[in-house]
Amino acid sequence: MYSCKKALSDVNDYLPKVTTVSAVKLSSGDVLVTGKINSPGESDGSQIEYSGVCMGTHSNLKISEGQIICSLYGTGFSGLYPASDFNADSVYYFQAWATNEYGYSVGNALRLDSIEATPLTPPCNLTMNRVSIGGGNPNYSYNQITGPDADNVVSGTSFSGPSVTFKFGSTLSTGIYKTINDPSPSAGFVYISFFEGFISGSLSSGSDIYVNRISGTSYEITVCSAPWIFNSSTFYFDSRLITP
Amino acid sequence: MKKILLSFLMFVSFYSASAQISLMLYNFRPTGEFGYVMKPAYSAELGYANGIDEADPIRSSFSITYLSFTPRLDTFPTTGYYYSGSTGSMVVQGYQCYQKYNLLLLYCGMDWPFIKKDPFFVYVGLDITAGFSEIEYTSYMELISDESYSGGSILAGFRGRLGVEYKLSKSLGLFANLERMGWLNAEPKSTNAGNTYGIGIHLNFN
Repeated sequence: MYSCKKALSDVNDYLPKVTTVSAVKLSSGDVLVTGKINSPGESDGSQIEYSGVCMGTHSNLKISEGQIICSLYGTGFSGLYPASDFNADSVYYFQAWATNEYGYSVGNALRLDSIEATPLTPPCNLTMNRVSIGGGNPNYSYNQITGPDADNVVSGTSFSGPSVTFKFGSTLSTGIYKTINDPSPSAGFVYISFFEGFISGSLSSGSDIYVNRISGTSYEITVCSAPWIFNSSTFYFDSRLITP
Repeated sequence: MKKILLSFLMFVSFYSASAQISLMLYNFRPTGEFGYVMKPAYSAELGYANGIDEADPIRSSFSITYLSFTPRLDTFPTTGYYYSGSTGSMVVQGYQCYQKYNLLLLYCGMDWPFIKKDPFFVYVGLDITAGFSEIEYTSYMELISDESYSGGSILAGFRGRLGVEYKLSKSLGLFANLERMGWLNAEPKSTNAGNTYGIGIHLNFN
């Protein structure tokens, strides 16, 4: 307060200097925004208090809009927006920001449009909304599909066939998830369990599950010949569905 | 303001028959955080001081000045930290604008001339400062606050000084001061500081 420090000649030098380095559309439909601190502020002892990125559908962004507070690694920081935040028909602006004891400053706004994932092509060509647990059991149609819910769970039931539950470890987006035989999967993994009559089971770990985001919260989920074990025998599970 | 000035002059005229009137023109340069907010200001300080000569070890002084500051930015960007159960933690932005920041300052202190080679004197001094501030600002913080302030307040502080004086004649002296001042404003509470670079004249009315 009683600092003898001479006032800086340019008042803007008290504030951080920030650049929005890039906003990159990933194949999953996510957007990775990267920022850089060029200066924490030139007053003695100035340091960055918070850094982050913000996002919205107009260029005059507030730092609180679509805010992600990011950790600093050296002078760089980045935030990842999930594909579910975007509508392919809208234009989005992304901006890096940082604060110090004097205030805040923002970097340049970067514009992206047509943000959508590159569709994945599963290795099998299954009929839509059909499921089979394998082992000679017939192929059934899903008659009700729900989710994903707040716990990232998708459920599919058929009249006389299997009822299947997909428990994802993170918010769904276009990408390949790995099965894991654990009811509490981590991000990037999915636990798939089912029952059909007196048979119940869950898929073994390590199979690829293909998820394509169709629109909004609607996803296409495809499982191609994923193994599961019943009484020491291995069976192969097939399913293809679109969530509502 | 006029009443205060008149009272000051009456006090000075009755205080001593050998009084000197001083007038200093100065540049006040805010430092630290105050230097971020306010531009340097120019003003004049009218004072009374006992004569400085080789016989007196110390001289006392009283003075008065008025400072009007101009902010360095129309709008200062500010930030806050907001938390709620629905939004979680969030850094929010705001602004602060100063419409008025004026000070009326009264000084009472003394100088000790440690180099006395008449007509040249070098001295250090210390003043106690009291006064009034007149401050007006608006402040907004998204999701947190939106307020305006306009009011007067008291302040108090200290001022240190290094100065030189050269007596051109028995009735006229020239001086230059380098001063450092810090003060505490009562409302809104703030501690501020700055440096003063001044030149002036002493008139002896003996």
